[in-house]
Amino acid sequence: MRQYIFRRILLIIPTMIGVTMVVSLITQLLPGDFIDVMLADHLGSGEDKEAFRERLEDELGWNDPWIVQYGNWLWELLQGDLGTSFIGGFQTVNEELRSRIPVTLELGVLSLIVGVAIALPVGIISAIRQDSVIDYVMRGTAILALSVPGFWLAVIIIRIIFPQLGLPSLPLIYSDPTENLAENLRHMYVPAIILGIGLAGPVMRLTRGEMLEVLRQDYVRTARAKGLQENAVIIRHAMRNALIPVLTLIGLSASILVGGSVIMESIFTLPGMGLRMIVALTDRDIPVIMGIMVVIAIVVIVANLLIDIAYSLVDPRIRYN
Amino acid sequence: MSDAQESVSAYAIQDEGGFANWIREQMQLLIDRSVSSPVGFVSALIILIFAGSVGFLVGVVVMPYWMFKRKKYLGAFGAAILLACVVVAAIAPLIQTVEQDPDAVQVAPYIKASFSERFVAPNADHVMGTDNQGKDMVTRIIYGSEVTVLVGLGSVIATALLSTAIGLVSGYFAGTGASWSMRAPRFILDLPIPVVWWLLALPFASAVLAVQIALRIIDIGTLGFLNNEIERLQQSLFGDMPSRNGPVPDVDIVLQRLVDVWNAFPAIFLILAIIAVIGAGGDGFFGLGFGPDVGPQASIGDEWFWQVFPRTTTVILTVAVVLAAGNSRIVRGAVLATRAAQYVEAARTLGASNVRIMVAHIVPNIMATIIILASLNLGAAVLIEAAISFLGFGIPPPFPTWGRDTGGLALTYATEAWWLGVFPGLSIMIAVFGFNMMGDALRDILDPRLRGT
Repeated sequence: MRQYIFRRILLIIPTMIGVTMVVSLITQLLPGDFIDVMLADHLGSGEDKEAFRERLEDELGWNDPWIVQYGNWLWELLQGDLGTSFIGGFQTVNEELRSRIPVTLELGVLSLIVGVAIALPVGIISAIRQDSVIDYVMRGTAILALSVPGFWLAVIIIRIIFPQLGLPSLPLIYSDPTENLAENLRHMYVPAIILGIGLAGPVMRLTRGEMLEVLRQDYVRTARAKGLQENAVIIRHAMRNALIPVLTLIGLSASILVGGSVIMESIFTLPGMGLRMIVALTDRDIPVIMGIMVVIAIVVIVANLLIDIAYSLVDPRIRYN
Repeated sequence: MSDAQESVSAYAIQDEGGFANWIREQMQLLIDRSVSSPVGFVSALIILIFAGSVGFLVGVVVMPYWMFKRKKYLGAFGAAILLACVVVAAIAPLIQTVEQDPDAVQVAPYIKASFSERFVAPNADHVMGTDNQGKDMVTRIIYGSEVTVLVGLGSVIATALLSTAIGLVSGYFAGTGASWSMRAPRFILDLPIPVVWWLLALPFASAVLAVQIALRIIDIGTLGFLNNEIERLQQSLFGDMPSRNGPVPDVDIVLQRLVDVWNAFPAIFLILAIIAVIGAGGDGFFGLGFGPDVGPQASIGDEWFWQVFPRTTTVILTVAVVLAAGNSRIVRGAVLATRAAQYVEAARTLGASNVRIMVAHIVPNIMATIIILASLNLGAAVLIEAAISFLGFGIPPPFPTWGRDTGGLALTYATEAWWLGVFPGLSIMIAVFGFNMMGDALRDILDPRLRGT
């Protein structure tokens, strides 16, 4: 077991090297730069335009070969320094991300809770009552949930359904959960539910499929033959085995949730990483782009690692592959 | 070509007569040529892409009927939606005409604007209302379907090609590489090597790796005069380990680490970053690169199609690149299962080359998986395209896309003019719903074991 975890953690190293290289290469290739923007703002001190550009490019190290720039950036990254944002008061990226990571994570965790809370019971009921009316309705709803564009649903809900029903509009200014939890949740619950519904579709379908598979197994029949109550059979014998593959899907959905947060954050003006990424891309704010991409990749990689380890704890067969 | 391979071809062509036999003969010829020379390979690839596209279109037309016959009524319904989308996109100019700008400021044909009819609520004339310039929303949705169909089908085909290539090579060569590549490299064990030195060695090492992998795939083995150098490099990088199968690393491990990297980025983030780099629909080669979106130089042809088509290239390629990573894992699994089959062993005994075994023996047997994945990707691709268009990073105006019509103006005027966003969003939903239904039914018919993936 310890050896498996050690091996699994070692596998992260090449992945992280690849991730940093991809991030660095993408930002290298970003066309257009912010120096043009700065030239318009900061000139007037009499300095020659070209000289200013040269000096700035030298200071930023943009004239070095890529491998040197990558090495420098990686060295600073290993020391925990993500650089300084070009735009907006030259804040350090660390500071900026420190306030934004919790927002994205909170949204992700809330929607995960919503999604799993919907998907598991629905999937299990749908499998127990296979081919009944409930089953058909639930399956249809799951496929519908897969097909609805989340951004469209969000717009319809906040701009059309909420005013029509006379519900209070959502807050526009984000409030810190440590200061005002109620206001914070009031801002978060609609995007969390929308993302959660999107997640619930595939999870429900997989739960149902796995449950059907497991309910056909011999040990379930044995449990029933022993005279166990149906509830005990489902919960103690069937569910525990059926949920193992579902665990993987939930781990993979970390990536989907973080991705979905881009859209939800920009619609609901939540100051998370997704919203910052879009602003940074339009501004060509390279340190911020690199920082966000790396942080998000780390979140996804760590989530997958935790799921793999949990998986190997639940299902010992995995360790020997 | 050796006698053994000839006899394999002769054996494969059984005397059934008729069209099926002809097709089989042609396929066999194509495979023979593609493995015999690079020119043959490229021409076979081109023929395959054309045949694939034609086959795809024929499939789209026949699918509803086929599903109906198989009693998959929901699937037939979904296939009918796909067919309807393709037909509407193809004959859009016949349904609703678009006009040429009289001042020729904008070469792209544009939808008729009428300032007396701004923000008209849905009525008999304008079933879905009009937007802020008095453009009919029905017309916008009809033309928007072109983008949906082009991006959907295009990225599905591109994803299938890419993921099959990666999954095939990765799965076929899994576990056949040098034994050292299965272990932790030495540089991890004694880390305090200067990082700079290591970084300088990295590009060289990866170049050598790439060459080795390429040679391995086309069966030449490493070049003789490089062998000693490569082994020395490996010894310095990985330590002195016995290499059972020569100095070639495990292709599978290298490719799977690449896929790991690829999978570490959420789809939307990666797509946004890539589109920020190459630009969404400029005037470069086939719409890649930057440039004014409208204006005289934007024209490739006068037809609307030739205006839209190149501009979708960026989005198609980006969506394909992102979807292919996850798919290649599933294809690899299917290849691993097929590789153990006896007919693969038999072909190897007869002296067939790696490429031949992969193309002629493994691909036909994992075709079901590839088709199922493609049909399940269709909905995902359309949704991703809509999402990036919604965020304003997709195909640039003036071309209407369903995703962009859902955001932007529709967002601003959502309370006053609800019809602006509701109908494009509904179109996306119905289309994706249909595609998913079709994918599900196809999976149930072709391979029931994959249910639940």
